[in-house]
Parts: sequence; C-alpha cells; structure tokens
Amino acid sequence: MSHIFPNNVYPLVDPKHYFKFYKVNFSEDYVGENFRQMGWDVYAPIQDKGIDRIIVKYVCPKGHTKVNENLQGKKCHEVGCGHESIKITRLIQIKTRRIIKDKSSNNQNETDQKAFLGYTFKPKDFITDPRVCFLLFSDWTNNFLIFQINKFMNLMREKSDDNAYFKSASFKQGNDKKNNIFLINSNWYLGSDKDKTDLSEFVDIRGLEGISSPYIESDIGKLSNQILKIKEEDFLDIGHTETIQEHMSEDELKSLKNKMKILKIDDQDYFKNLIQNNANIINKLDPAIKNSIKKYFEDPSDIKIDFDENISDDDTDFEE
Amino acid sequence: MDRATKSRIYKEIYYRLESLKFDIFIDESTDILTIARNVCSKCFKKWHQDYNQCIFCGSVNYFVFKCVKCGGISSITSNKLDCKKAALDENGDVIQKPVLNKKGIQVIARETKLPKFEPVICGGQGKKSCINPNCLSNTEEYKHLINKITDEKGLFNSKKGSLSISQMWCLHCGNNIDEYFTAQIKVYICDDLTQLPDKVDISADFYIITINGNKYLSFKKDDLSKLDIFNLNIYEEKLQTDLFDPR
Repeated sequence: MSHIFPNNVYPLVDPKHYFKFYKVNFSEDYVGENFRQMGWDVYAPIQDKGIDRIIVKYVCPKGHTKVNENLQGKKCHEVGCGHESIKITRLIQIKTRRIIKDKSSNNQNETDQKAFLGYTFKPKDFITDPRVCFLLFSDWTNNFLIFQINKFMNLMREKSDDNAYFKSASFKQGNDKKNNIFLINSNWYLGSDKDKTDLSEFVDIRGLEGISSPYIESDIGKLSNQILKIKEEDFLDIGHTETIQEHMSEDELKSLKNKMKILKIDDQDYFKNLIQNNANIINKLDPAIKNSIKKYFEDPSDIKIDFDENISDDDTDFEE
Repeated sequence: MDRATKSRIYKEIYYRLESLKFDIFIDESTDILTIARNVCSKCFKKWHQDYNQCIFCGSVNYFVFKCVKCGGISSITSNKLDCKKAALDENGDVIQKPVLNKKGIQVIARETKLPKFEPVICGGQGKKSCINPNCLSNTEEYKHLINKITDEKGLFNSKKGSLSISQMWCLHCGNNIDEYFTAQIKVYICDDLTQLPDKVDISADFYIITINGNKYLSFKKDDLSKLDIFNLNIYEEKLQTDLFDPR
C-alpha cells in the first residue's frame, strides 16, 4: 500500500488543462483513488446530494492500525492487542480549487509565490455529524487539505473577529466566498498576516492521519454536541451588520435577540403544535395553492398537509 | 450470467433502495454498495438540509407569498406579487364594491333586480414571510423592522439579510442533532445457489442475495449464523427492504 498521499493516480492527465466547470468528476475520482490506495473502501454517490464520497475502513479501536492499512473486519494483529476491529466511516465533501496568485506577492520564484484558495461553505454543509470531513483539493499543487468538521469550525471561528465566520448574513445565504487559505513558500496557512495559522497538520498525509482516528467514533456524542453549540450560538445569531445598522440600533437588536432566546424551540410538543398549526392554516387554502406547495417537499407527510392527488400541477411533470 | 444482466439487476436493486429515500453510494470495483440517509438522531426520521426554517420560530419555508396587508396566502408560482385575495374588514367580512359599467353606472343583476357587488381585491404586496402568526417576525413590534432588514422581500427570500437557516430542528420531534445513517450492503447476484461463496464478506452490515433476479434474500450480518443461505425455500419473490430502515 502506498505511503505517498496524494499520489498522482492519473499521470496522463494535467489538471491545468481542465476547464473548471468540467473537472468535478475527474477531481472527485482522483481523491477517491487516493483514499483507496491508502486502504479505504471508497463509495461514490449516484446522485449529487452534498456528500461526495463515503470512505470506510476497519481499524483497531486502540489506534494500532497504520494510516494505509485496513483490517477488513478482522482482529488487530498488533502483538499483545487482538482487539476486534471497528468500522470507521468518513463523509467527505470535496472542493477542488486552482490556487490564485496573490497580487501582493513580490516573489519572482514561481513555486514560492504567495497564492490562495477560494471556497464557499453553506449552513447545510454543517450537519451535526463529526464524521463529516471537508477536503480542499489544490489540483495545481497536488495537495489535499483535510479538515474534520469540528476542527474546521473551531479554526474558522477562532480566526475571525468576534467569532463572526458563521454569523454573517452572507454565510446564511450561502454566498460567503472565502479567500483565506494561503500557500506561502510551499506551506499552507489560514490567513497571510503575521498572525497566520499554520495548517500543516491538515495537509496531505498529516491531514489523512487526522481523520483516521477511531476516537471520532468513540467521542461521537460529545463531538456532535460541540457542532450543535456552534450552530446555536453562531448560525442563529443576527450580527449587527451594515444592513441591520441602517434600521436597528444595537440595543434594539439586543432586545430582539433576547426575545428569540425566550422562545423554547427545542421541545417535542412545541414542534408538533407548530407543524399542526401551520398545516391548519395551509389546509384552509385553495387546493391549487396547496398542491403548488407539495412539490417543494420530498416527503409532504412531514408537514401534515392534505394534498389533493387529483389536482395536477404543471411543474410536477418530469422534465427531460 | 453475463455482465450486462448482472449490471441491470444490480442497478434495479440500488434504484429500488433509492426510491425508499436512501442516498446510494457505489464502489465500481466491488458488489458492495452503501446506503445513507441524513436522519434525526432521536427519532430517525429524515432530515432535510434543503428545507429552510425561520430562525425566530422554526417554521419551515412553505414557498408561498403572504400578503403584508391582509395576510392572505398565495402560490409562489403566481405571476405577480400583488395579492389577489378579497380584502376583509375588521370583522373578517369580505369588503364589497359596486360593479360599474363603462359609463360608471352601477350594474343591476338581471335575475335579482338588485345592484351587483364584487369583492374588493386586496392588491397588497406578497412576501416570502413566515406563515406562523405567532412568530416574532409577525408581531406588530418587529414585522416592519424585519421587512426592512430583509430588503422588503420577506424572511425566506432576502438577499441582504437572511433570517432563515437550513433545517436545524426535527419536524417531528424538535430534536436538534442530525446524523448520517450509513450501512454497507453486499450484493450477490447468482444464476443459482452453487455460485454462492462458502464464506460471505464479513465487512458488510447487510446482505442481499438474488437468484437470477427472481428470488431474493436480505438479512443483517448478525443473522448470518441463523440462516441457511443455501436453502432456496427461505428466499422470497420480493426484495425485503424494511430491515434497512434505521428507525
């Protein structure tokens, strides 16, 4: 099994020749092949739904398994161990980006120029499952930056002023493009100023080691709650942005946020009543309106609305 | 069995699973597929990251317009944002106006000989607002402020100040933790029982064995020692799929 990671598994292909809108399949397969070479079983989706690869392997729960090894369901062979292996699963979201030369870079040497990677994450990328990992593939430099979700969230939060990374309106809207991961003199950093954070623990083989630990599975409850805490504190926060400042003073915003906290929205009865009360409103509407709502829900029974099967909606026809 | 037939049967199986609302992941080099589903960690009902919820009350976005004037709800596929609902007075009764002819004279109904009236159309602006009347965003104190913050477009449609978030609370139990249920299924597609291996692949969680795409046996890894997979009598004509459900 290989120790080089990432390895150029498609030597006939130069990623620089790919038009960016067509390189998704190549890049995701490239990533998948690399994980396969490191012992992982790699699964690709038949539909594009957010998770780009599911990778699975069997490891010793005591951490004896090498980074490129898969015990295939058998016991650990480490002398004195013999534990049953456990299955670890990682849900990989892959973003492939070409590095962009930073305009402020004065270094003439092409390989040592300051460059950055741009990327966008949305609230729906952050499920409270600590097995989720974000992989930024810098295809022109052949690097993988691999972040387990908790580590990514903590890192981005700590690096932003007032933990603002996940509070911004643009993040909630899903159009918060970040250009804050830099390659400087062949090393990767978060930020480019004197306070930049060294990202080498997330790069290539070290990044892979970081997500190969069985301790994610053993701490899954605690790690899920950590993700939830950040979501509750930041995703639901309304920052005092320029738009809001035009219409609301800081005190008014504080008062609004205090009222939001008073609302109990994490108990079963509240949600059952909410869904039913909203359904009662919708169920009184014209059947055509109700049916226009139906097509937006994969499982309309979730929202308890009485849809009329006999009324068709033009948009429900499958488009080829 | 030729490769094309085997491939067809394999696809039939995973499309069947996909129709049961599993996300399907395949490994082209093996006959093991992964089923996955984003679920609530408490009740295991499906979680939908593409549903948006109001950050004030948790109501889902129902993709409707709500009139700022009369509160009437209309389809989002309406061509115009002007509310076409009948306007209501403070008692909830429809406001009527006389029907006038081209000369501006009130029309008299032929049948009744009485003056004709028709509902006044509201004409208010529709916005993609939260429909929950108890939501903070619909209170007198905050609704105008929230309209301004959301660029007069409504809580679920603002470009400047979004006040909705992808699903954070289970629609069934209100739990706020979701997870990705995953399982590996090893699929054996055989002409007959003699093609089954002596030992099945132990790395899978579930197994599906099909004989010619006509008979099926599906079981959990834990049940392997209890079953005689070489006994055709335990196979069924339909593919059983209930055992894969995480609930």
